Amino acid sequence: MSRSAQEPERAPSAHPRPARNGLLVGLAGQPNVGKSTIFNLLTGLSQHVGNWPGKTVERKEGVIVWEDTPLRVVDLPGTYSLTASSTEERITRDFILHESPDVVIMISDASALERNLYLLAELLALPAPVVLGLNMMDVAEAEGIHVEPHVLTAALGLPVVPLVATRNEGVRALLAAAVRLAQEPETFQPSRPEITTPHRDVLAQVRTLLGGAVPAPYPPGWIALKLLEGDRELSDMTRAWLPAQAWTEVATLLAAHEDAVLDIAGGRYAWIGRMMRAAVTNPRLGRISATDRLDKIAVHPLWGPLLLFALLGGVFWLTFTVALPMQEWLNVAVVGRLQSGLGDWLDGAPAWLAGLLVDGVLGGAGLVLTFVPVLAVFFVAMAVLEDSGYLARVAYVMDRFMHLLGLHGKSILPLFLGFGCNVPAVLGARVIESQSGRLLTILLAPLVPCSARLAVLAFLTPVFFGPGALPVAWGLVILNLLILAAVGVLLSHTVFRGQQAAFIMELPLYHVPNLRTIGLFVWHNLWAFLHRAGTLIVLVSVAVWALSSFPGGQIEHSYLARVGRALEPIGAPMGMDWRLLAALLSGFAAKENAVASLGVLYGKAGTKLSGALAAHVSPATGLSFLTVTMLFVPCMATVAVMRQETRSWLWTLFGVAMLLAISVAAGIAVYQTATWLGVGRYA
Amino acid sequence: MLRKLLELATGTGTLSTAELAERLRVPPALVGAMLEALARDGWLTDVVRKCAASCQSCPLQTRCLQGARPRIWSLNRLGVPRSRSGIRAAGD
Repeated sequence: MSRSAQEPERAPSAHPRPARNGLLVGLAGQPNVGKSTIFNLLTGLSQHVGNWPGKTVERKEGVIVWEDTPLRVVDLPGTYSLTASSTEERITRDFILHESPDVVIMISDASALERNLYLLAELLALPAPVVLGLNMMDVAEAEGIHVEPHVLTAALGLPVVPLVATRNEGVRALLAAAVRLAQEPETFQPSRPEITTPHRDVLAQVRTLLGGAVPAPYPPGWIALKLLEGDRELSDMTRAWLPAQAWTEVATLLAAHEDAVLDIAGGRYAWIGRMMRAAVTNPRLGRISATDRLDKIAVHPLWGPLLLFALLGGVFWLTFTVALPMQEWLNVAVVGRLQSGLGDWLDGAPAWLAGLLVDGVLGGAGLVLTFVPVLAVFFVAMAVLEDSGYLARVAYVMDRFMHLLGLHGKSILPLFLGFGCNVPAVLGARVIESQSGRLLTILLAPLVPCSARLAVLAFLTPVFFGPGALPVAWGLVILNLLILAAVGVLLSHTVFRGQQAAFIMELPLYHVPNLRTIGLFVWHNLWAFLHRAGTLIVLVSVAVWALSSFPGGQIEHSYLARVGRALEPIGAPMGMDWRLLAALLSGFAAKENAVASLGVLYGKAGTKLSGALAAHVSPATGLSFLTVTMLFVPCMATVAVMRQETRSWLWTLFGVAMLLAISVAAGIAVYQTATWLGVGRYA
Repeated sequence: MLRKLLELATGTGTLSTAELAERLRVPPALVGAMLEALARDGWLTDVVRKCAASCQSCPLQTRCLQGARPRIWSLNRLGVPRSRSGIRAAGD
């Protein structure tokens, strides 16, 4: 074995193994590997519970007799490594160093061996023989992971015993192996990890500088290794042991090689990789292969975005073919009949009351309630894509896309939430540490088409474009995302210059979506929508009705018409009359209000909204209206959260003004281009 | 191996653990273990775990589409892992 191996150099002979009656056994392992179950099986009722000296951590030990040999078994705290970053790690390594157990039994989870072997690699650097217990063999087999203990025994050079602690299988064999090793410690010749270049020589230099200053029971080679790993506790101790000049040299060397830990830990992981290759076969092979095959397309730089856009188109297609006929039926058979029945019932009532209930409440909020099938399709599609594991790929594909455009990588997380609702998207920007990155993400979040805007889009595109609705809706969403990207590039290269974050994503395996999960997601979201429709949207519908009915009952001379006409100079280049402008503005309360307002303003006198809109609004104007709706100032809940998260009215108003400018500019561009192309002028 | 992992992650922007596993020629689960270790030592930040903690009290959690999030790590300032700064101070 080469000297570069992370093997324990003998501690100074001043600290021989203490004479004791029987054997001392340490039980080590990571948390949640079944260590306590095995301890209970081994020691039964003979347990003693106290505290580790000077610590609040429980120390459990028990005594058993194995073939006339008394064994004192100490249950060590669960730890991931031995680098003194936690009390548990210090206790474990101090126990091995100061109490010199005759043998350490390390329990590992056979279904996650690659995560468990790191602790073994660290234990092998300490002066105690180790037996490895492979617990949860049944779980590993159930997951398709086949571990071969005898191969692992040969590869590691130490006893490996398979276990199923919950069924008390293999525990006696484990104890027998531990006692045998404790009685014949000279047979312990394990394969240890090696330090990869370029820090082998540095380790030797540190060891030389330590000289004979390291007291028992610490092995000097292990101290040198831990110093290079950046162990603060041992660093403080070494400073006290060494003469000032020697410590200065050591400290200088350590400061120049702060990254040595990468080579030391990297050597351990390379060793783990070798052990895994030798002894573990077909880890989750079937599912990983299926996931790999699907990911060849789903996360491909070209096919990935194309698949995403195709799926988006598929969701719209499903909406148009399944949800919109249901929406139409609800509108005619339920809301229409209710309007007609309520109108008859209120025949003798004041005209304003009938107007308020029939046109204001039912014509506005009632119409919005018919969105339920449209939203249900969206939410089911989103839930299926999410629960299957695909949406995680969307985050990955889009993140890479955003990096290409120079945007902050972390922005994708909150922006991704925006497809559901812009409010959590703005709140989600909290995951970004840098203030400029967070601010940029908050400003971009409202440009992500939320489910309310997508529902408005799904409802209105067939009204304006009939059979051509699908490509128009699809194209508008793409346009939205392109504008988001363009604004992001512009801002990140001007106002928010900063470092991009490098990212690593662990994508979940694909699996069949769970019906209950989907059902709960759809129910929660639809309930939130119904709650909003029953409160905020009713209020805004009534307000729009009142403003469009007073004074005098003539809509053309109403308060709303007066305000709307004042805004017509802005609306004219976009092809919009005052009604469309009013509908657009009402969307500030909640985006669905845009449709509710159109219902109040165009759907009067028993006419169908779709027919009225098709008669009054040209395709060019419709396209312009939809474009502006998608890019317009977000709803007031989002604006309120923008203020809360930025803690600045200035940035909030900047965001609102920016979106207003973008939406108006896009509306003008779309309307003028469509008109130039002969799509149709404002009627 | 960890050095190579960090080099790969630094050089190409966004990477999946599957890609890393392929390039390092190790099982994806081992890459996951290495990432967890690097996060414990301060080289990486477990972004989503941070977010998940705040979700517990988030009133919007039922509306959040990110229930089954990808696990995401971001690189901290390169070459200055948090865990080593104390050593430098001790050496000064």
